[in-house]
Amino acid sequence: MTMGYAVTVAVVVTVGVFHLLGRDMIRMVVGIYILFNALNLLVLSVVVIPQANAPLGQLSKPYVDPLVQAMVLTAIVIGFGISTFLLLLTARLAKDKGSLDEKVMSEWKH
Amino acid sequence: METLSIPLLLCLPILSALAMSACYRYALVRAWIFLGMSLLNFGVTILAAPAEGYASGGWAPPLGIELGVDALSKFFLVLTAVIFIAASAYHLGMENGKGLGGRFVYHLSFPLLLLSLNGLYITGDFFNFYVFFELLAISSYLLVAMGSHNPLEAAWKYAVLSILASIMLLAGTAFLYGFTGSLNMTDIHARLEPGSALWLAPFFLFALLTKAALFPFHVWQPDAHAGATTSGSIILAGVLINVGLFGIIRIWPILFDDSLRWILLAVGASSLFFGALAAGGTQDAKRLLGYSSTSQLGFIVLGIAWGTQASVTAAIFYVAAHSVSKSLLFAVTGILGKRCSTTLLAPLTGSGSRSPYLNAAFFLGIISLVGLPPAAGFVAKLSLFQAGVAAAEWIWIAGAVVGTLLTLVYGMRVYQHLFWKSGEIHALPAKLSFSNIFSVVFLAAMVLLLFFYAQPTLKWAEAAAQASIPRAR
Repeated sequence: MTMGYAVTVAVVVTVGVFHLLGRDMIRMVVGIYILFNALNLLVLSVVVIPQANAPLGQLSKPYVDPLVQAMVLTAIVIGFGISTFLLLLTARLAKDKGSLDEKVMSEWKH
Repeated sequence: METLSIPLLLCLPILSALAMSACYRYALVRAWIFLGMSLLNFGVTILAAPAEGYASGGWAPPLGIELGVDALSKFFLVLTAVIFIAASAYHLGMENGKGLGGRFVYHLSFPLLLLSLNGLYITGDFFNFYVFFELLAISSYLLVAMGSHNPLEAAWKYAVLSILASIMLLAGTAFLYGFTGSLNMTDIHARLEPGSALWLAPFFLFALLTKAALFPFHVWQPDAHAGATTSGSIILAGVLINVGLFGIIRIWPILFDDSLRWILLAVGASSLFFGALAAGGTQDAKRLLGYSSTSQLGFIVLGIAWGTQASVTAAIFYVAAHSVSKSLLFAVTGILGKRCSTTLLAPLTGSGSRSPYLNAAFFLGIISLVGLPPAAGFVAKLSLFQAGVAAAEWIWIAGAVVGTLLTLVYGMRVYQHLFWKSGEIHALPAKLSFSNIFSVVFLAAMVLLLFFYAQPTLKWAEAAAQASIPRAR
């Protein structure tokens, strides 16, 4: 199971990085969002600590680590919010420069 | 007060953000709220007594999130509060009313920044650290994106790099949790075998070095400064990049041991040289000051990497000295830049030659960067070199001496351009408002104060350096 998670995370990260390396800004945002999702999967796959007790109530083992789920919920929201902000920024930039190509943005030469 | 100060540090910015939203039509009122928030926050940080810890929501650590003020966090909290006062006073005088600086979202980014900074400094939990780190990043994109000169490009560059940094921090935090089964900093230090978490270093280093704008990851900083408004630049240079240093000082002793110090030494020395050389070659006053931050932070990282009590003390003092002097330089440059509506060096030539007081303030800032008396930078450099000599780090001291000379070169270059050469006479000096004068005088006074009352501050920095060594549970 751990191996399955590891391979999936590796594949998703590869896809994310591949898109991030493109020149199209929308593609870059998509790549970043895919990276965030790979990270969510990674956080979820963090191994349950077998010897610990459930923090709430007397549950019998095995139980799912609740802290990881709380972390993933937070990370999902953050990733979604940041990608939205980036898309907005991209839209404004596209309006200003009339292009989505990142190479157009090279005014900083000095 | 101990129990009240920690919730206040977080609630005050939230309440100010709400108050700003309530008067979203009135830019001037929002600027006053910004100033009032900074002053109140200064009071709270001064009163915040180092306390053992505050379990948020009543959940005891290590399960719950621990918030606590120790000497290290208090040093950074007060420093942040001081720079915020200067930035808000500057903002009130210069950028209020109409135009870009009066936008609602721009104003709103300041309380959000203060909230995340205060949270970062007092948290004792790795995931909470990540959350505040991310909040800080988002509010600083807003700060850059609302700037005056080609800000969207700068914001895009900064955002993409900074998002990669936070992705790395999240990955590092997840691995750390899987590895140790805890997120509480004290708890993790107790659980980790020394030297067993070295493989986590790339994740945390990528995130913290990007935030601190150190050498391989500094590329966002000059653009962000050139794009941002001046009060934004004051916050970026005086407060934001300190977060990365705080992270290194706080997290490094918890997770890693001395076997990785060569990374910090290499990063420090290369930032020192590269920042100084790039600052010597740039044609824009604000970009020059941005590169100079990379160079100055190189000194601080060297001090952290030497790893003795004295050198970490010197590094922490250096953080304060750099923050106040760089903010002073940005404030003066901003006033001149506002007169000529550009920050390029060529059109700015001679623009300050008729303003003796601005001249004196800028000169004070430059000699503080170089490390000459009577400025804060002198004490910082002196104690750093003393600590280096005591630790017998001769090669790195030689590098730091060369870096200091390069600082003199680029510092004098920008000073000559702005104040010595007589260029065309631009618009006559506009009448400065009281709050502008206040912010420059306040920052200049801080630079002098850190020189004349260096001893108490050094004592405080020493306590902070001691607090950075994680306590055993």
